[in-house]
Amino acid sequence: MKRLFFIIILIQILLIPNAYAHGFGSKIDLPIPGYLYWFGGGAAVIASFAIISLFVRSKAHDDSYRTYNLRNVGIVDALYRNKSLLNVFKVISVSLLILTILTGVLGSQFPVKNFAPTFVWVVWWGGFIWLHILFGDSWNFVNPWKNIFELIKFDEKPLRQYPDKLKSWPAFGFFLIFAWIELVYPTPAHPQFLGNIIFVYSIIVLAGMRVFGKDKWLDNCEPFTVFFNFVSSFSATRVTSDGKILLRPIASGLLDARYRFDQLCFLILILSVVSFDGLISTLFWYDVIGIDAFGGSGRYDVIYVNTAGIMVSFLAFFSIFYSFVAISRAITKTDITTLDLAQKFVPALLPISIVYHLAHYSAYFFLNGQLIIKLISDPFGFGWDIFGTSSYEIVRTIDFILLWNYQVAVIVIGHILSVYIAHRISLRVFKDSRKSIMSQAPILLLMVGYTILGLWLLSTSSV
Amino acid sequence: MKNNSNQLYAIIGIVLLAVAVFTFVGSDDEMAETPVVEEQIEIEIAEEPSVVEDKIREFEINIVDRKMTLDPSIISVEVGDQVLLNIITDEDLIFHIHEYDHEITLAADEGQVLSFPAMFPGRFEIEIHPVEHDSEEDMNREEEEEHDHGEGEAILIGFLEIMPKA
Repeated sequence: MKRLFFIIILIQILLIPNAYAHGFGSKIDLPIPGYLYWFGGGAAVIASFAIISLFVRSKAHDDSYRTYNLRNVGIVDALYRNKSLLNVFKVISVSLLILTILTGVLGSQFPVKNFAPTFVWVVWWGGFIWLHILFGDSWNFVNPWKNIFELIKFDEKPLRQYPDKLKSWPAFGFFLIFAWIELVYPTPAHPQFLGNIIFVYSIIVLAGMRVFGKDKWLDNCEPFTVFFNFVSSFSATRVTSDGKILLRPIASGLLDARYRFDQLCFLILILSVVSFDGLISTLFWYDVIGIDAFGGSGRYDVIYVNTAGIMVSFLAFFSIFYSFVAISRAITKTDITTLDLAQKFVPALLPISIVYHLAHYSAYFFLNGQLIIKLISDPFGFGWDIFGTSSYEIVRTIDFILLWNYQVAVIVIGHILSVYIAHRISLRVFKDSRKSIMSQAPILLLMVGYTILGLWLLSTSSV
Repeated sequence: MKNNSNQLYAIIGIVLLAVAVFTFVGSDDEMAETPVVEEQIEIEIAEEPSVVEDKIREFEINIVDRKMTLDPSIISVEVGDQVLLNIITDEDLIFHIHEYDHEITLAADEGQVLSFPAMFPGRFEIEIHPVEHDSEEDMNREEEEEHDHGEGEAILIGFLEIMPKA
């Protein structure tokens, strides 16, 4: 019986609905103008040299940075002690998960009239990242599956030992599937598809936590826990195990990061996925793959090319990064292996990939995010008006001059952070400022290249 | 090390400043130019009607085999322009511009004009939805779906690019 039930859901998922050909919601970004592209590129190069010059005479190798315990502030401490606030968030997160599944399966099948697509793709995937940058690892608190598990009071004792040699590779695999659905699957915003797949995934997570233990599963197999944990090392706050809430310089968490090989790959996967996301919609990409961007059936035409593309893009980013690290190792003649060095330097890549993601999605988030105001009043698209907001008029006017400047600014800031962190790491690794600067020459080149790529993606004509 | 981080803050500050300057230079231009445009409009109303025509941007849109013959398939105008599209197609279809939500139904080989003011900037998808003639019921259903802004075969044929006033 159970098996039959799953087969029915699986068939529902696999039947690609013959619906709208493009992704979800409108992306109305105008490409950034040429002068800003050159300005951004120039600023990145100048900033890189400025940062090198800072390190020329530096001798100190300590990784320390100033922190401030926010619990010294009365109101923060009171909020932290008061568990009821946290519980409210937990209840909200579980309700949102249930609402998403229900609206997806039962509601209107027009993506813009259904709560699920906008909530999942725009609010959660596009906007939630901001909470992590500002407030640290929020997913850890609101993860609805974790909360359901705790709420039902499942037995925390694992039934089986998690095969530790798998490390976090299952999360890598799930993230790749998720990225494929977002970027390649023809109708990622089809409400029923979303509702079904989230339901199936929920069962997988709950079962996984029950079998292998809650934390083992979340840390190794739950891609969003791993992803948001990476992102939050960027944030200005950190909750320590002894209950302190530390305010710290932004991105300094990356200095503390020590990544294994599987984590290195996950990070490169994030970098390659966000860049591939920008690349596949450019007219340049359509030229490369030899498919006409206009007049066809949109995503249906590129499904195989882009499936291969996601993998190739990961391999390309991995090999480029690895080669530059190898050059860095050759220049410095160090005893540290290339792999070891790559693991040490990889955290520095996070800022540039996150800022590209933010720049790329900002207008999309602003425009389509407003839909949620309408949808909370009518989540199923049945014509309800629960909060009286269902007739909200979407503000469509975007100040593009402001948007362009913002996009270039975040990209340049991300670049500066990446270069700065790479240098701090190299000082720690080589303990000698001359060697550390030598080691950074190839890494710096790589980062300038990546930043220019990001700016180029934003300035080129895309579909 | 502390010295270093101070200098880092200084660099970030300088970059932010530079970006801010760019923003203001951009918006100053905009402010400086807006009154000029208004003046122009006043003048033309008074004496020179030909200036009004300058603000009308006319395009010949030819849709053949579900593609625009325009190359590249991008119609580029500025905010404030009056866009005038003379559209002709080789099959029955619905012509639709996203966000602006302009939509007209075209019959094969019968030209039609779509005219509207470019109000807000952005890059908007131009789509066509071929009309199938299976039965009347089917047609009605399809039209309904189009109005619902959802399903039905939508074919991207190009973009309407509306630039902000420089």
